[in-house]
Amino acid sequence: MSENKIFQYVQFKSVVAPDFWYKLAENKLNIEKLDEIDQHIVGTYTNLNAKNCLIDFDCTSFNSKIVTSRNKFGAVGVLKNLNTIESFKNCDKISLLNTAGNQLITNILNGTCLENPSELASFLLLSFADLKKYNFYYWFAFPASLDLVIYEASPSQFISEKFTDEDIKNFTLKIDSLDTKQSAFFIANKTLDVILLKDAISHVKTDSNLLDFDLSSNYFCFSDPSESKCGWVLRNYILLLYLLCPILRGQSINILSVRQSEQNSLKASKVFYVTLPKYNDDFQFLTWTSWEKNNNGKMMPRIANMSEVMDPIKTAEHFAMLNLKLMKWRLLPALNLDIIKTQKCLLFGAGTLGCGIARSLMSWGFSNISFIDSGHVSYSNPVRQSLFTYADAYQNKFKSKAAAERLLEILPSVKSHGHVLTIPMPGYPINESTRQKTIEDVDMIVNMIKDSDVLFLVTDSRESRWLPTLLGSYFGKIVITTALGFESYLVMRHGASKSHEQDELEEEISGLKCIPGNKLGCYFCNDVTSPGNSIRDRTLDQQCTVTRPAVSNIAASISVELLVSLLQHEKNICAPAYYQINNKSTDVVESIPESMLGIIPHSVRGYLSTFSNILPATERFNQCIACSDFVLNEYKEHDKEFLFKVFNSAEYLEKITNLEDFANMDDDIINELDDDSDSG
Amino acid sequence: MISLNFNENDFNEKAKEFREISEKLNDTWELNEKMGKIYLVKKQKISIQNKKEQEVEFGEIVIDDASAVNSIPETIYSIEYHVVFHPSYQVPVLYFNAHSDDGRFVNFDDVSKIFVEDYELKQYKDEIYQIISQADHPILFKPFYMIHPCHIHEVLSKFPESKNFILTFLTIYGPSVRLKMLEGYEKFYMEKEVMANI
Ligand SMILES: [Zn+2]
Repeated sequence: MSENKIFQYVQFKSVVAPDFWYKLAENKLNIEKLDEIDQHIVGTYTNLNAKNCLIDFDCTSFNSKIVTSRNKFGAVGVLKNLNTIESFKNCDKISLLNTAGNQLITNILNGTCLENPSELASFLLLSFADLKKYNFYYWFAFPASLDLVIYEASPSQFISEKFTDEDIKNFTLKIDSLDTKQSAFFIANKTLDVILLKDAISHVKTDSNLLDFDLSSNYFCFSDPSESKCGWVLRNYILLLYLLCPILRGQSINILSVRQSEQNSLKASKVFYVTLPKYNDDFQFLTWTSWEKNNNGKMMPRIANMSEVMDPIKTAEHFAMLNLKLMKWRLLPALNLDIIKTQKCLLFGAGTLGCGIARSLMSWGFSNISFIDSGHVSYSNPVRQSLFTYADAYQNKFKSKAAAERLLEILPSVKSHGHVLTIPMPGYPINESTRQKTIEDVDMIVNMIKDSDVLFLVTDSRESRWLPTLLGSYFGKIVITTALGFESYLVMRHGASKSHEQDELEEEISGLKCIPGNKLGCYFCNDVTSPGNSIRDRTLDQQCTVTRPAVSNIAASISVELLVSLLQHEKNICAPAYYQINNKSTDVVESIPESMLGIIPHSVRGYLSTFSNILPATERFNQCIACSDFVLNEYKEHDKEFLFKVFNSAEYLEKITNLEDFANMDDDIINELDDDSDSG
Repeated sequence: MISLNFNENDFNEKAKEFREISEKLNDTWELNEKMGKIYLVKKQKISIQNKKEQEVEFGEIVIDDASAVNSIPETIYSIEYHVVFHPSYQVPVLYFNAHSDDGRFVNFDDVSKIFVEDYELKQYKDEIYQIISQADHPILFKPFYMIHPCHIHEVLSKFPESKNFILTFLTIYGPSVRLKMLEGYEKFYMEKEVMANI
């Protein structure tokens, strides 16, 4: 016998449906709570087009009655759901398996398995549900005796090689008429008549079992969930036969693996010929296998993280990203959504523009959006400022706080903070009583800018944009300025700072002048105070306290789209901008090099009176009061001492930048206002 | 003849017919009903090799078991297909969901990976994400993947001789998501026709 091959079985592989975890979590929270009682649960397997010896678990696994149907068979087991990860880790797995094995032997010897053969397909499930993180640790065991080894007697044969078509056809009908409890394991004679286990075998007088049985013409049948070698369930069937039918010990027997395919065919069914061992009468089945292997083939516990479907916050995040992913897959395969997701945006101003920009940022999948604003929500705000409600005004909430809270209400996975801070401004002297507070505010602003990737300057005054412009340039951040006139708007990306060295030359295109990203100007370079700037458009620079109400939404949208275009450009902040040198040729605009999302202008000036945009690009002004080397060096050398000099007198900027015609900002307040000004 | 203006009643009738043929063929389509709406359901499992599983850091046991087949590790995906008559597009629409054997739903980025082999993946991805979306199931109100219905009516109208537009629909759209129709369905209608002509 020893030269014969050991007969091998295919191990069960568990397939858990999502609703199994839902039900387990629900039971844990509502019924068991802190109890660790063993629960009876069930699994199912099929022999219809079966592959891989699978066993299924879903929410019906917790039902007291097994839901089976034609070709669907039950397996019975015990769930041990533990309270802590430590007890899951430390419990004795071998002894659990042995207990389950001993229970199986008991069920065989006391006749349970004859009455209900499904008990032979037994399992154990050890689990720990971490319901805070929606992690389910679990491990299935399918007990089988390691001691009982059988051998192949001769090669297997297909059912059609042994039986007539007529017998096979009738066999199908006979199986169909059985309860699946019985059709899981049964016996058939040479013409494939069905004999139930309980009718052929007794658990009481085992010595007389199958005494007048012709082993060569009878078949021990089982419904097989495996497609090639026999499935795991056979192993316990053999154990039953060994224990209850001593006459079979040392004998060769026929096994019929019943496998269904479409069109009610049994053609995949096979007959296996095996030889049972004969151990001493006092032989004990003591060692048991087996814990399930994970999908890497290692026998170890598994973990299922269900947070994406069980955690509503993650679900919301997923669906917020879905349209972006579809856009990427369908239109823009090279679209980099990760860079968008990871950018930290800091908005100076939580007024009409700030709200609109935050909204658009969210729709693009930006997940880190914070606000700096010192104002309160007023009654005039909610109709125009899309993050606020009447209740916010009634409660007189801080705008920055209310805006951040609202973003979290819209999408809880967003990171958003509101900071109540006044931005110090040139020409607005700091007195002794506010000095300490201002120092702290400046430190906070500096730290927040350092920690950000993108700054949006959307405050309601021009002077308040000076400090963030300087700091944005100094720390090399992307800065987008947005400003509104009555029916016009300006959106501008500030040039990259000197630290972004750019040696290579941009491509020359006739009719176009190219300005590399690190030579582009800032909001203040184009200032009224900049001499020789002939393209300046006066409309925006008029003092306007009112704007056409929807113009801010347009400007906010363009600001975000400009940022996204810039982020998708390979040179990022250093992306060049182009402008037309002469007006003769009108087609050159079309030859501006495009990136994935089209051209990336330096600035967009739009006019609602004609519903048109122009795209000016201007170079950095060497004497700019906010981004020139004079100013940046001064800040580098003297830090807050310099800043305070400027706060106390804007003329100090004129001095250090050698601007002789610098107009004092106190005298010439030029508002490019967010229409926030309607509140004050 | 297919009516180019089929309605929900036509769908219900054809779905029941389809389900009956499925039963005869021992195929596994089921007809589900919720709040008076019916839809067809089929479940299928596929196995994929070489998907590395994220492991826990503890508890490995080694048992030497000569009686166990040393199987190649595989991940099993369970896919559930639904054919639903779409209330606004007025055509049958194929919805599906998939989960791996540990119970996790297959996420949007990975859904293409369960339908084709790695070497086909790039091209398949380009194609499948043109037509796939994720949306609420119109009867169950739970998120499902769907094959977008915008051209279905046009495509179906090219088969005026179709005996069952659901079968025609599934024959055309099923294969892109590994849903193959048994030959028996076509045969069933062919034999029926032969019988009618005798
Ligand atoms: Zn400047």
